[in-house]
Amino acid sequence: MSSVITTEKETFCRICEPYCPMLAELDEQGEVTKLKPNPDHPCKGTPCNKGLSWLEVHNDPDRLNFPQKRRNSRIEMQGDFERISWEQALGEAGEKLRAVRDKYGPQSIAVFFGNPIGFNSRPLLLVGELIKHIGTPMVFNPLSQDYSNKSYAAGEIYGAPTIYPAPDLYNTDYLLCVGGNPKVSHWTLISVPNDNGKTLKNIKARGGKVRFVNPRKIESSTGETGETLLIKPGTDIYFLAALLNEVISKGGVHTDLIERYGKYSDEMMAFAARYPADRVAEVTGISAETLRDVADELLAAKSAAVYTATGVNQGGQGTLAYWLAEMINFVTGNLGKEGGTYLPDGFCRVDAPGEDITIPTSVGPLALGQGYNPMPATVIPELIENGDIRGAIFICTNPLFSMPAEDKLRKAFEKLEIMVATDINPTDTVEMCDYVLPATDWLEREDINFFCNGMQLRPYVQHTEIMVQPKHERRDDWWTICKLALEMGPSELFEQEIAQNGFATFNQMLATRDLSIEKISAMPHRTAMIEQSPKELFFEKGILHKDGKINCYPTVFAESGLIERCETIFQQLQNEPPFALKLVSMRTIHMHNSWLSNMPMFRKGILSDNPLNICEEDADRLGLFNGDAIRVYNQYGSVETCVLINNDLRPGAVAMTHGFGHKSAQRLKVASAKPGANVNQLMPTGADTHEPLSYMSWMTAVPVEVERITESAADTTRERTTTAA
Amino acid sequence: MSQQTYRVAIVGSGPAALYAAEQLLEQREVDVAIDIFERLPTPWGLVRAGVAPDHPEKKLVIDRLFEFIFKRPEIRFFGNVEIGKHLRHEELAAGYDGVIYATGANSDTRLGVPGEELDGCFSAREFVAWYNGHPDYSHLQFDLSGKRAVVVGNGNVAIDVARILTMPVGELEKTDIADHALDALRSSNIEEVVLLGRRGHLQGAFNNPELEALEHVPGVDVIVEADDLPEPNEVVLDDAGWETRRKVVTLARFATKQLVEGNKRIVFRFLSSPVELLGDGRVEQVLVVANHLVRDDSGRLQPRATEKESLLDAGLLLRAIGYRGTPFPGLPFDERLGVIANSAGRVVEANGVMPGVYVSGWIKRGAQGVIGSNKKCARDTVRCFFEDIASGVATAKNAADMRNLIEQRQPHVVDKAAWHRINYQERKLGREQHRPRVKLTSIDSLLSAANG
Repeated sequence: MSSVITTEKETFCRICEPYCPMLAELDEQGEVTKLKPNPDHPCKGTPCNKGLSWLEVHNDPDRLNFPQKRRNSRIEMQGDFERISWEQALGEAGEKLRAVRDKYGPQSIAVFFGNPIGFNSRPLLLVGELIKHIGTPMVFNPLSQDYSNKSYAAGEIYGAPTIYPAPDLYNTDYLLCVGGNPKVSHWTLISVPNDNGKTLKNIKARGGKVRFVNPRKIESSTGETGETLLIKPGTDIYFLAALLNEVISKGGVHTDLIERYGKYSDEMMAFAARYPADRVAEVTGISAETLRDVADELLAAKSAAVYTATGVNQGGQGTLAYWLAEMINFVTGNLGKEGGTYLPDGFCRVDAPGEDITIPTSVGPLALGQGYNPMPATVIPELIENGDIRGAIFICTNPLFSMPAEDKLRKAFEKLEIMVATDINPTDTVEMCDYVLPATDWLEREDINFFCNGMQLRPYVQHTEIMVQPKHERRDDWWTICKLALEMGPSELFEQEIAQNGFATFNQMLATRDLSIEKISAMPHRTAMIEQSPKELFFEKGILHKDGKINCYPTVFAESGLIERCETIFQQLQNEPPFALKLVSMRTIHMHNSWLSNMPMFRKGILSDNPLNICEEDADRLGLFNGDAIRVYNQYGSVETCVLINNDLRPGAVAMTHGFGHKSAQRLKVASAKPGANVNQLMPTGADTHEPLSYMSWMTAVPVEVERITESAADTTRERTTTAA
Repeated sequence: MSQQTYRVAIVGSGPAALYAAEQLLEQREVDVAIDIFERLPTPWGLVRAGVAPDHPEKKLVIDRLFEFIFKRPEIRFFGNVEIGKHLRHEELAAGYDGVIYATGANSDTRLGVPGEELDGCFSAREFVAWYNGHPDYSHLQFDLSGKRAVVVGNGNVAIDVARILTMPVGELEKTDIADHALDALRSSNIEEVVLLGRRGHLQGAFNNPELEALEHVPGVDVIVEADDLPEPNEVVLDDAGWETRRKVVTLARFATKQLVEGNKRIVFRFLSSPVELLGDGRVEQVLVVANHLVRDDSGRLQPRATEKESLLDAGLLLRAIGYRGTPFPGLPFDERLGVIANSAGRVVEANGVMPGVYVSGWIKRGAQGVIGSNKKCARDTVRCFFEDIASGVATAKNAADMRNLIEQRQPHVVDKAAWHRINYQERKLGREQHRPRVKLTSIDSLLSAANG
């Protein structure tokens, strides 16, 4: 045991949007011995089990400690790595990247960055600079699996891809939460201090109402919050269209607001009229009567907010769904209103109009949507196979798991001339790389809570110092990005950032509020609270179109075929066989993408696997029992897993969690011993599968088939044959 | 490149065995291959054969944990293989770096009173195994034609059997109770079960959840024969812990509850012991003596018989005063504790520690604790094993895989695939009857299902 004398330092969690305040206990040797809540922090948020357990990640003996070089061909699944110096790693990686750029052009180098960068302020800003510096449009990141529909639609509706009006959860009288499970996922694109669901309970407690819309009775939905309308997977768009139509026909439209701040509203209403409640009831599984009740409740409430989350984003029609949700909030007068939706202030909102930046590629023209979104993940294999992409940099990302079609991606990655990665773990993607650079985890770096800037219901900016000095030769990602950038050519910007510890740009932004990193770090809790301006100011600050109007019917929706596609899919759903199974994505309190897969405490028992959740009714029909070995498959792929009977799901919906499947990450001992199934093997891949405009991958409500694996076959393949030691 | 794989045999497949397997596999630095030996064709030990059928939530540990350990590729299952019959301990010890006995407690404490040999006197352990479809006990016949059954003991097992004997059969029909037990219970005449506790209310060995669950059994009144039940705030409770206080509150609630005409009854009679079982060839009456408590030298309250005796008519007597382990051929046995002689999990014979031989669970520490108690117990045992392989004490003499020898000795091995077929068969039958499963209760029917 180490010394009893401890000191406490304030820091915050960096796993998801709330950035929960924490206290780190340190012993005399400067080691963090415990992470615990920080009840004195003014935001009042409390960390969950993931954050409080982070020391298992921080202290993981399988982490990357030194720069490494792969000695064998990446066609061999298991890498043979040698330790090299930082100087050699950066020098050789730089040389090879330059060679690819010089031979094939800068667009041949792809830059992938992952969700951890979202929770790491300096590289989040600097990765954009790296991309500009290399001069490549080949950018891939989690947006296309997470919310690029919202950013695209926001650009069209409000004039900038970062305008996400937030539901005023602390004041609203009515919340319609579609495709979100905030108790487990802690909200998305809004940052709400975590209070274990109290925010939701309070809505009901003060006389308001919460409705969830989800194919599963989710953890958020209890007697103290509100019930779940069990919708059929992938049909939220029609539910929202019908709801908007009901609102209109019930006379709930604030015409004065529309005249003043809207344009093309007639076209929007005409669209909604195509999907009346009676027409969509069968497809959505929600009766016309219930839908009319929802419309009545929404209109009767003093204030109301429609909030859509990841389940909607990933369902294949997220752009239109988000548009409709925003339209409901707007026409009912709830946008820019106390208790409705509004634009949270941050220490510096960076909302700028953007335009699609289109380039020709072997699979046709592709655009960085709104100058903000990434390229489509669904066409990466083709872009590599066809020679558009020749080299890649991976910044804290594991696309083999986070993007569709692991097998196709793996085969494509094998053909790259150079792969460089920085990460804390030897993940499956890292294992394929030629150069592997060890990164710091969030206890080993200085930071501010940047990603939630402009999304917080209680706005503040917090600074944290380093809790524990990076061990071995781990380096911060921002530094590695600067160094890689400088390998690609001289740059004053990166020199300056290195000189200013990576905070140069932040200090410029903070200066707009007369703040700086230095000033914040001297404040109580290293926190500067930001005053929220009146919510009605949305119409002045949140509309960036030159005419100052909300675009209620962006013409590009029809031009790109989205509108027609919406009807085509509707008709397909109408004609679907009665027992079609749709796979939905399900987040748990034990897994966060693939971040936590090597944590022994989160991989015990049932958590060692990624079972298919299915309700008794469907299981009975298919002759399946709890624990049965099964194959889940569709035209895109096949995975083997086991059955978990879960009657929270509606019939027709089956659920799995993403982030599993580390079979080739042999150095992650826990994760590779208990790989579980990589659900993204089943996700549609290819240019015709993503949503037009937004390039959102279709990640939920995906048709699948399920079959039992005959016991003998399963057992013989799984049972080891012992050989003499 | 590849490190050595240590081979471990685990004898038994109940909670003690599965937790030991989990602990062995959790170790990142050491690779282990585990063979689990089970005398029956079915795994899960007392979770299958002990946990009461009307408490399915206590079996969730199978679905949530044991199944996922069991299916790890490092584990092989040799069901229907009995150590001591098909393989000797010495053969096992030679073939594995470590052998862990997790065989549980196969016997029980006897009353030691005259008449115990009469028909109609059983151990609750046998009754539980019977209603749970344990193939060794399926042939038993329990005469339920009398109006009263007496259960001696005040633990959770006593409460389980009392509940099963009185609760509506309609409720049990939704469970995985053995069909032969359902048939017997359907024609049962038992209206009252008396639980005899040798000590007082404060010393009841049952746990609070089990006691409180009795309140919710439909059609059953719980009667506490208690003139002397202390008030919750009485002095006598001053040194009692919160668990005891909560029990007393529950018992007081039972004692004051209005009885319902026509209900069956579970009667708690404290400070009472059986002194003789009377009957002509079979139990007809139980002679019960009232006790008082005296403090022994160690300060514990012990029951002492008074002069006060009474007769209870009863056609069935079940003793539920504790499980015991049984001696295992080739291993030292501690008669006093009823366990394989061991020191913190290492088996110890007269000349000292038997290298590479371990115990875990009830056969190590005696029959006490709940399912989860086996986790720490297994961790301690497995730590001994890892220390012993590090020091080179534990090591296999033979390098050859045991599989061929096992299959020679027992051609009807039930492996994982065969168990899956049994499991499938039972659940398929269960689904047809809206039950979690219909248990196959004989070795023949189990092996027939195992063969597909």
